Amino acid sequence: MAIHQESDAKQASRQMILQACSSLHRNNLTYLGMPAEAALDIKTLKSVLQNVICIADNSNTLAETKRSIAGLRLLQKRFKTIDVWAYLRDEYPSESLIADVTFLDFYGGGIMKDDPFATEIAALRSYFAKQARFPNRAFVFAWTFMPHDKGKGVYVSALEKQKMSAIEAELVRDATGVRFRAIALRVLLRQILDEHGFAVKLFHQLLYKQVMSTMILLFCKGIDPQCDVPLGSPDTLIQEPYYAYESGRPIPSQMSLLA
Amino acid sequence: MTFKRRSVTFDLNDIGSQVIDQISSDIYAGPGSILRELIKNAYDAYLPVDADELEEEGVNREIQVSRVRDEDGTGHLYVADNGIGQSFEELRANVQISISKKPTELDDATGFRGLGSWAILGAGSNIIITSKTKNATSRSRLEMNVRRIHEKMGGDTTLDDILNDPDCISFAIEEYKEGRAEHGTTVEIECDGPTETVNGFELNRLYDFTNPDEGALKGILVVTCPIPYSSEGGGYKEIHQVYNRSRYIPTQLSLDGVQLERRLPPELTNFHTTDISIGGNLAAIVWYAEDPKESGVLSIDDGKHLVGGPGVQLMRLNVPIGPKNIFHDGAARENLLNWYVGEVHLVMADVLPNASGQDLRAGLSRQLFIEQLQNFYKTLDQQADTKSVRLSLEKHLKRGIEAATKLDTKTLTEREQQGAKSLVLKAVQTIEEIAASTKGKTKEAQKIRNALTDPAIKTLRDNAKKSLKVGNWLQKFGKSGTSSTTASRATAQRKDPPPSRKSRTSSEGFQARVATYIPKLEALGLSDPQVKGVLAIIEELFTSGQSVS
Repeated sequence: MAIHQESDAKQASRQMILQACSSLHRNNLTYLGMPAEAALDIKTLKSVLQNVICIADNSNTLAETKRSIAGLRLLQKRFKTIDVWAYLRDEYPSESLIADVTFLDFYGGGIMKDDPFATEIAALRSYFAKQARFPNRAFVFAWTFMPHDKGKGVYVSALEKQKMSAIEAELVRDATGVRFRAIALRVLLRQILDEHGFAVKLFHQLLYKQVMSTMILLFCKGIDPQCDVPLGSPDTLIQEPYYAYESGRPIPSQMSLLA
Repeated sequence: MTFKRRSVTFDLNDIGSQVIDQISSDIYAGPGSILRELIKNAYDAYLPVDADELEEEGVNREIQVSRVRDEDGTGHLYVADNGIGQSFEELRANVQISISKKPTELDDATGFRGLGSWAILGAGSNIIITSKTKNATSRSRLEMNVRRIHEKMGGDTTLDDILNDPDCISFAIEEYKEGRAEHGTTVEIECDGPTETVNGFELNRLYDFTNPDEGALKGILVVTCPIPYSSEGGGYKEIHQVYNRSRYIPTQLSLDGVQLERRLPPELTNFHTTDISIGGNLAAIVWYAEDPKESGVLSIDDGKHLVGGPGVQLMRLNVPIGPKNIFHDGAARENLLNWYVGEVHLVMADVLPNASGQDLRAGLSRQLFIEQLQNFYKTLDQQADTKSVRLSLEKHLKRGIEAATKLDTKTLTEREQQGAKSLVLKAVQTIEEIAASTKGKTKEAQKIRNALTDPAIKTLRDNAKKSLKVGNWLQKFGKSGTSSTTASRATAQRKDPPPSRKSRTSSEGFQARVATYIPKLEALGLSDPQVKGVLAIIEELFTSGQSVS
């Protein structure tokens, strides 16, 4: 059974994702993510969920997830023992459910694979391509990452085919640590969202004790009349602030990636 | 001879392991009885929890049944509740046999036998029970490896060999740094493949039902498990009053995320409640509903209403006992009981279901209760009869009034006139039957008198008389040829000899009777000219018959 202890940051992330979901004003959402044994993502979001797609690369983890959510009223449940990137790239396009809220919750970095174009980037493209088939419907996309990954070089390599503005290129070149990773992922997402004509809003990005960051996006192709958060151009992503949660402070500090 | 007492002690080694199979296979054989046992336990788990506390926690009083079929074919069936939960020691008690504290510690518990997890053993290949109490710093787990247990079971092994083998039964605990609020129990039945026999013992019995696309499980839950009536259907208030009196606490049941709720079909607007007593003590509380406008066996869309078809269901704490109309034999005609939907909620403490849930436990009270239940069935049978007569009278009188009105307009075609006259004739006959029934001693007369207790029928009869007088139909079609009063008609019928064939068969009356057969001729596929031809033949036969007599 799981022994992973929950951090305040994770709980805060889930609450923020729930808020993002609430702004969609639909209570029949489909969750896609890696809920782990205790399935706390799903338990936190249960009031707005109808279906779940649970991914884990370990079948024992999924067995526990199944038990953990057995008491929740969910219509359709999918459990996939597979790497999440491989799932998004290869299986998600043919999945009959469409994920309304997607939470890529990594203990490690955002971009980790040796060949990010074959895995992470291909998976993201596959995911957003499917979402683009459902216009006028807003989605929530959340991504948690930590800096203990394979280093800046992997991100730089993943970004080498991206079209970047002069500011973005400068930020990518100069930034370090979690801030750099946040910039890299926003640039990556900006380009993919732009390609499919999505409007987007960075609902929230939290940075917890300089080690963990969760980025929550709301995006939609066209206009979702039920979504009460105004969405804008993907180009604005890089300008959106993030919030640093640090110990000893009662409130998070608003920070800019551009600074 | 002198016998001296000697002390002998027994332990688990004195009990053969096959006793386990006798519990799980002989009593809890079918999916319904296994599911019922699990759901009853889940229901009981809510009994010690304060309702206000649940509300404060935002926790629904509900039982979730859900299924997952893995890509490798392994099936899982889960029954989960947010009830009191079990500590490690309490979880251990699941393995004990016939040691249940429920009857003494929990009022109104549905389970009382203490057969615990053994009751569901053959359902899967692995049974995993995970439970946690409120604010506990740990979660406990019991795992029963059914395949291993079955492999070990046999004449050479004892209960001790099974209970104390960690490969058969194992316990685990997950500890947290801090207490967690969530509480409840999840029972998982894992089936690693289709039903099979291992060492002569069956396992994976529920495999077919672990597929979420399978549709039969819903029907099984409907007929075996406690499912409350929805607030959206008719009779809600009254039914929930019966729940309250019978001490059942409505607890939602969901299957694969869909809440199951019984709904009374909207046409069943005639709602009744009554009590069944034995020796002055309340034995059961009954409700039943019927369609006041229709007679016959109810046609119910059970996919929508989840009432398990028509008929009367015996219950205890809303858990169905046996099939509908149980014990009706010799007391009432089952097809008449199926004119109703109803429930009999047992409240008497010593009238309990047996282990299989298909019958009542043997005992003196059982027989006394069955007699009273059968008396209740008899009243339903009689009421159905009365309703049938009432509806028949109502139908004929109403149709006769309508037909007479149309005939008076003199705008009907020849064929329409024939049809209308046949309806008028039937109405006249109905009025005569009503009149004759006042002093008749036959069962039929009694049924008519019972039907006439409904004042609407009397009013309708009076209206019919008025309408039929206008066209002089009472005289034309009436037996006596006059529109006499009920009393004088009855007197006349008693005094007069049986009417001759000739006097009984006036041409108008005969014509009307023949008209009733026209739709049948059409149904046979006869064209209009062919029908006309047949009618001409009948007329010829009638005329010749009249002249012969």
